[in-house]
Amino acid sequence: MSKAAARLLIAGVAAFALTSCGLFSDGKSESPKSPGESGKPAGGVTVTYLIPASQAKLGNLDKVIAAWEAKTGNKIDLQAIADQYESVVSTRLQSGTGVDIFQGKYSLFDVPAQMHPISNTDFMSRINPTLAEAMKFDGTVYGIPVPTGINTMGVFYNKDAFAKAGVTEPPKTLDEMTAAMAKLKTADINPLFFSGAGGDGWTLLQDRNALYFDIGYKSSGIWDKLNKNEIKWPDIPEFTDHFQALADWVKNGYINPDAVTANYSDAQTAVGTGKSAMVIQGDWVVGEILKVSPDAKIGFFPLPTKSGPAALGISSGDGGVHIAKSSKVAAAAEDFLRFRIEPEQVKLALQATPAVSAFNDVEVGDLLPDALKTITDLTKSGPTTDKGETSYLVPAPETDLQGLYQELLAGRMDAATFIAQWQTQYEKAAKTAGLAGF
Amino acid sequence: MRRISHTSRYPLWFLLPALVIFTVFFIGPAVVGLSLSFTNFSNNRATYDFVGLKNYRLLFEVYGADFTNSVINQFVYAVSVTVVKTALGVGVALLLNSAFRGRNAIRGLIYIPMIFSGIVMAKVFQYLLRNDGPINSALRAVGLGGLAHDWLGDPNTALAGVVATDTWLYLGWTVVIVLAALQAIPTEVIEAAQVDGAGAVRTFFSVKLPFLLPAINIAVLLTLISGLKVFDLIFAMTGGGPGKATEVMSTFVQKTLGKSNIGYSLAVQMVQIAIITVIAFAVNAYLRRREARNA
Repeated sequence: MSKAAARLLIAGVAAFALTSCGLFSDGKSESPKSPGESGKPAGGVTVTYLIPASQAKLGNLDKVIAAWEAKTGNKIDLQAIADQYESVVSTRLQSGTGVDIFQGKYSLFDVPAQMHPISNTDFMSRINPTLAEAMKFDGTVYGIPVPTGINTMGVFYNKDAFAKAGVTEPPKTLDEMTAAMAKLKTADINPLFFSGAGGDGWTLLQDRNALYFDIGYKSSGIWDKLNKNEIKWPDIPEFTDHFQALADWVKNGYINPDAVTANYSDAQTAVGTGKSAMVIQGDWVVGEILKVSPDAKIGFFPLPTKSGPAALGISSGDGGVHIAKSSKVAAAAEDFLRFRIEPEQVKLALQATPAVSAFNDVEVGDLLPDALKTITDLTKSGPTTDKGETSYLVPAPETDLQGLYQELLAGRMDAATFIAQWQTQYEKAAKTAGLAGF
Repeated sequence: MRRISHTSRYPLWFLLPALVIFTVFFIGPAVVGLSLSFTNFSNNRATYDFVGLKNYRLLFEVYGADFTNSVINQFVYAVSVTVVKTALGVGVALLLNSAFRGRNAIRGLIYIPMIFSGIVMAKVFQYLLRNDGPINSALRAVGLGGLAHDWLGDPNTALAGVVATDTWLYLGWTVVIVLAALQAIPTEVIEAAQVDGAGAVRTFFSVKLPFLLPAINIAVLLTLISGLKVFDLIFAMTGGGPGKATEVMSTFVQKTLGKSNIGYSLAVQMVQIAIITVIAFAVNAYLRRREARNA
């Protein structure tokens, strides 16, 4: 055999071997097998689902995936992303590979170019109307809610601590909140706990989230104005009132002195044991507190504002879960997401992770702790809105905002400087993103 | 003639795999990154355009003060860890080079922290340095309660807290390099100095130190560069806070990733690389000249 013929033979064998072992396959565009071919249901495609690591174990997700895989013969490649979730998603969307299902607020994406519209939107009639609105972008549905319910933010409090201090009613206004804090302080209970340690700075921003929802609800068109730089944060009374009150609470010693270095777990322990009375958080904190202090009686009330209780913000995975436009298995991806919100699956998810049900055909009231029952009632009776942070087109300079919170909570920055800096940070972020008007 | 040419090309074949790997995994991404830093490549746009120096102007005109603050913090951090680790590392290496019971065990112990995950140890030290953490409890227990405070929550001590953690974690690296150099010093040279009447201090400065300088130079250079690139410890311990007290270039770059403008993030990254490269070359040149003078 000549050298040339030998090289040709080796190249041919190598190419055959590489093709056979699937090295050149992207693992997601295989042809579906027919039902009779393998004795299993039709399917055979792999759907890649990028999920924030903190959510990968919520709501019996592994069991839901197993049930769907058994039913369809398809596979879910669940990839839990620990850090920089949005950057990882964006990079894969840009490259057009490695992602079929993802989540994230619409303002972060070129929605029509990067997301697949949901073809069957029957589920919209089953969900809370505010949440249904949040699934749309320019009138088209690009999101399917997660089964682990509605999220909202507000004040979670220890009922025993309130009783011990003689606070009989949850405060509704900033003045009532200040008065309640004074009583708690007198009773030797830390009134309000913040946890701003490195890595847990996101917890500080739940205060902002709760406030933003209220501002979005009360001031019609406020987000449009902010997006166009036609109004600035120091000009919004609800915003300035809130942070002036927060600065006053810091000055009066109503905030834990280690607010800058305390962890999220410290907040759970402090409120669970009643050493601290309140924490401003998302509803997920209830389950965390009850893990640490199973007997704690935890209540909820909307963030107090100058004029009364804040409107409740409603969100579910920041506009729901989306399907990548570049996905070659979009039909299977949508089938999985729709399977996941079937009433039976939603119930299983909420049993595993108690939360307020987003679906009006799934009731889990008996399973819910008091605070979540209160939220459920408020979502039915009180004002709710989806016009929160997700309506703001300026990418949030979150780390900078956390830094400002730290300075305010440590008493090193007054409210006026904080508010001015808040505006400055957003203006810088808008310029970086190249938004018009900045 | 043909034979000579063939022979001269022969070593190139051995270099080829390394060149290919270096080009594909290092040079390639760097060139792509540099190219994209001149575009408006973004998270929320499917296409991107050439924007010239806009991202670099954005960095210096809009974020000038913030970036300068991060560069200063980065230098303070890098110089601090370099000075502390080198001084302590040489001292510990000299100690571990002498004969005493348990020497081998201590050599192992010094190196063990390097095995641990930086992120995990950052979280451990975050706990140790808390206001109600073990270090402050110990200070209070021995009557030094006046010194106890929220180390990472105070902008004046937060960076020092991270420097201390970095030193504890990676001191073994400097010790190993210097110890290896110490053990390579010919014993007859030291014996000759001692015969000539040199004491311990004179022996160290006049005999051992010249032999150690190349190793110390390497340790200084590597520590300085790692200090100029530090990210994980600061990110996990303070997140750049409180406020911006521990903000360094790396955390500054990380923050830019959340602003939807990847072109800008890459521009910041390129400036960081340029700064580190210039510093590394300058320090290396200085240390080599000093080494040559002492040779």
